[in-house]
Amino acid sequence: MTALLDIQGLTKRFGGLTAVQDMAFCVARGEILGILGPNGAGKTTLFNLLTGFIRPDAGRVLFNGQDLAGRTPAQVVNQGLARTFQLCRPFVGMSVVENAMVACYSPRGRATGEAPRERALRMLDDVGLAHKAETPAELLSYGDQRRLEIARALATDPLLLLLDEPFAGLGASEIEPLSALIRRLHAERGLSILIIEHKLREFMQLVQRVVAIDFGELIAIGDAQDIVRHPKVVEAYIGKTEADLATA
Amino acid sequence: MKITLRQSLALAAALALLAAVPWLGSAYMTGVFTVCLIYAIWAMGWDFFSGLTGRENFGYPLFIGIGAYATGYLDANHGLSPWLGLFVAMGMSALLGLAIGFPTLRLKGPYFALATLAAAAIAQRMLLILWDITGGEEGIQGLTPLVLDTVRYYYLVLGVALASGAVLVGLSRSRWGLLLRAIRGDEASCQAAGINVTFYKIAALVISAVFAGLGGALYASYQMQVSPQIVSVLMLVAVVTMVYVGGIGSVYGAAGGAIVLSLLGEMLRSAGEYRLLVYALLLIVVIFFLRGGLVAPLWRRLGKGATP
Repeated sequence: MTALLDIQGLTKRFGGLTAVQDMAFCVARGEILGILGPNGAGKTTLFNLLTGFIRPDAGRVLFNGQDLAGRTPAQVVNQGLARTFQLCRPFVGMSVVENAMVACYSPRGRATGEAPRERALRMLDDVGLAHKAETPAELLSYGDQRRLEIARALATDPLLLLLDEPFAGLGASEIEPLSALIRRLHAERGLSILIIEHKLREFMQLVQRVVAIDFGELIAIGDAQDIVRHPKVVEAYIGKTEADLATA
Repeated sequence: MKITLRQSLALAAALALLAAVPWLGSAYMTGVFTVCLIYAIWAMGWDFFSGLTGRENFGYPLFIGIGAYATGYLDANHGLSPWLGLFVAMGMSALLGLAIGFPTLRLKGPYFALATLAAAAIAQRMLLILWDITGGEEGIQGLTPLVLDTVRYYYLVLGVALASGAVLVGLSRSRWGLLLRAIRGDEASCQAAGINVTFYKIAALVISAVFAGLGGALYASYQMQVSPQIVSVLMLVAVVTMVYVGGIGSVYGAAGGAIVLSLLGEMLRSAGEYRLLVYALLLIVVIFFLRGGLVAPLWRRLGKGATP
């Protein structure tokens, strides 16, 4: 079976800086793949390239057999590749359920045949926000805003979900339930997930394979346990020992 | 959203009062109300795009003007029926909406407002330069009224205003309203939710423009003339103030604001030029102290406290 996401030679330069250099890897169907790399390694740029928010200078992205070249972010989402943002971006002035309904009105969301409001409520139920459906979205706690981001992405009926640092800024009490939610979505829906995260402990529990990048280049790819011991990865996180990495 | 008993009673009373205007008031008052209902159409049209998407369209008089001038020019030079003129006006405004929408689409906040303001300023100058078509400062005189009788003209405008209100309020409470408010909230999030932001922004601008043009044609035919004042900044200030006083983003509030301010303007007629000062002060007071406006919060208050 072909890979769900196939990235080939993806390159992006911002002036003299090469943010992503000749990136190439695949995400298999049903897999949770992690992207590991220090700050500024090009992880978020890679996400923006995959989701059409910025255009690559070279290379291509095949998703579910389709070339994503030249597609707008909305078109990419309607192919089944949804994302969340590192900084939560709820629609201010709208209730939680209205926030989720927006995605239900996407062509892909409507193709499910489900009534938008019912679908939105079902997605909120899925992420554990059903009891806050009528709350103004900007009043949610940071953890709940992350859940809302995920509900909004799920409402577009994705095949692959891109999570950009889902645990950033969350307290320990919020991380574990969110991590459980991501595992449950993977197990119950067979959702493929590509995840960027800095919190290594949670990250290692979630992912099956890891892509390590630094200075925009892929430095290692393989099973999670092997990658954190990989010399290049350790070097990228200079100043940290292997033991620090495993427990950070 | 359902309306409560108290809201429906208030609505019925307001409609009854509007329907009774020709009996209650003089022919002069009927005329005042005719113009005030045209302003209501404009204010609702402006609010539908600018209130919902949060992009202030300061070029709105341009859409009003092209409707008024198109129907005026075709009437004066080709004897086109003003009834057909209504549809031509809506079509021309829609085309202009597309033409302005595409280049200004990526602009946000003050940049969009300035770009549209510049477009209106250019248009006002063009009206003078192209004087052989537009009549220059004089404008185009001697247009055919849609109906001669003042009272019948009033009911015609009342009907059009109610229909416009039904369409725009209906749209603002449908998928359109939800998505346009989401675009105001965060465009990138909207795209990440799979929504074609470009399509909704341009379509909303075109819808807004169509009602501007419709009102423009009604106004030109009622005044039996069209002059450059229709694309002036004063027109813009009047419409925007009505929307803010009514309650921005609610659409029905804009219609209420138009009625309140038109009547206020009439009461201040003796104050002459100082009326503008009163308008400006009112706008400042509303923006600082009553961010939700006057009419829309009143309507919501009617909805509360009653049994659902």
